[in-house]
Amino acid sequence: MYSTFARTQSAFAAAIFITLALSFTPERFLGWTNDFAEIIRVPTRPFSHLGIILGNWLRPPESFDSDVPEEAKEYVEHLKTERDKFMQLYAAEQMEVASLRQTLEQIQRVPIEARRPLRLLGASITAHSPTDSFGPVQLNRGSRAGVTPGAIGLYNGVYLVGRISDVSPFGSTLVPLTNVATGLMLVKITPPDTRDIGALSLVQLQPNGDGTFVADVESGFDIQEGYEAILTDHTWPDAARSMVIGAVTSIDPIDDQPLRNRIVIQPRFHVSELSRVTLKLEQEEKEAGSLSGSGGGGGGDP
Amino acid sequence: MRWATFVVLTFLCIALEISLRGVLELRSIGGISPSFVAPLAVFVSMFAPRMTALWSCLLLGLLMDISTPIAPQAGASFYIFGPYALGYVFGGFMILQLRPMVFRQRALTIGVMTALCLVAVALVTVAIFIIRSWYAPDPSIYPISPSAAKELFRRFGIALYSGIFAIFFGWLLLATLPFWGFPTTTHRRVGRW
Repeated sequence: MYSTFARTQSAFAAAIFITLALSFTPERFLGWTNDFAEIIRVPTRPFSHLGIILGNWLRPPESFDSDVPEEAKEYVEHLKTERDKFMQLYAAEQMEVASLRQTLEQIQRVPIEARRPLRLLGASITAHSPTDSFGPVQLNRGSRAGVTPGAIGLYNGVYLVGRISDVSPFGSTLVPLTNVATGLMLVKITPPDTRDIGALSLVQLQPNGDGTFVADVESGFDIQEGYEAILTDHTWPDAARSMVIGAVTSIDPIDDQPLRNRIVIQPRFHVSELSRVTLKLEQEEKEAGSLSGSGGGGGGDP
Repeated sequence: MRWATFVVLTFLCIALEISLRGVLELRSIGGISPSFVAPLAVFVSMFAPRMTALWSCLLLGLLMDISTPIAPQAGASFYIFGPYALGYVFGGFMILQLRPMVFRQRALTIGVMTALCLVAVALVTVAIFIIRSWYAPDPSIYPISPSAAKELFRRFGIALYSGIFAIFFGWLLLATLPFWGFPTTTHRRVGRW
């Protein structure tokens, strides 16, 4: 009896030693953990997916239109989504025009990348990070559904919520925009409802780690609370550009830099509140070709 | 201890942990949400034989590690097996030291012990992340960024919230006592507060 107990203790000590070693293993040797975790997570996925749907039903994302009558809410929401979508297209076109104008002015031959058509894919969130509201989440769509690393996640058509970091055949990992791993992003601050890029302010945003973004801007910039931040960063995929990041919620002077203000931008939706996102995927050339050949190219998001 | 019962409840608690956290999340207080796994670890540590309790805590911690991906700025996300595993073992060990001094079959005990266990887990996990950040190419990807003290206080908040939540969840767990086959417990039909 005692020897069995001792053996168990030895085995436990060995397990602790191995775990300790794994705890401090450098990142470059941890690539295999993704596959291992994927296998372990498979049995819990359907149940956690159901839990997230239930959770979303119990506590839906906060609504901004509490004064709208209940019966009109759905219709208003539809109209707002449509409006946001067209405003995003408008902003994208304006950026395109500005870019072309700049190119012409400089008389440069800038090669314009042939844009691949895009397609939208709905994906359900199957697992949130248990300790971090802004930690990576698991989606139920993987490489078999055409998801690729770098694809972007949207909500309500125009709100950028994150980016796919890695993909397995049956699932993928979405890093929320508010995660500190997102790093710096170049955005333009624009008045809401117009998105007129004539008087836009270009700023560099950084996730703050608490679900907001911060940026230091010159105090001369005309930025007010409620102005929206739209992504213009060229390090992001084309599909992500002109998507809405969030709205300015505060502008405070920086004590030790009198000529600069610190603005805080709050995203409209946090991934932790959602049960579904839409992925914007670039279609493979072959797939795109067959679609255009059959007249189905219009299905992609412009 | 019946391992089948442990596996079923572990499965359930992990699924709840990664799915229902948003429902109970306090968004105005740093986005903290209660743990479903910690009350289970405490419950097992209160009643199971010593080594069984420690093995259970190690397994629960490993499952928590597997549920917590780390996302670098570039490239695929990865998992670190250890911070929660070692944290839960430390927490479980602490409960083993305290259990002779408490009324085990009380939901309130589960609540208080859950809070203490999660404080222990927080100390270990944050310590490991701090050490890793010394040699990591990009320390900002760990949850201790921008401040380890801030993260520690956030986790203490989670511990407190989980402790309160575990009073109710612990009551449910106590109701499952007859299915566990623990060696020295007299089973009541329902848990006691």
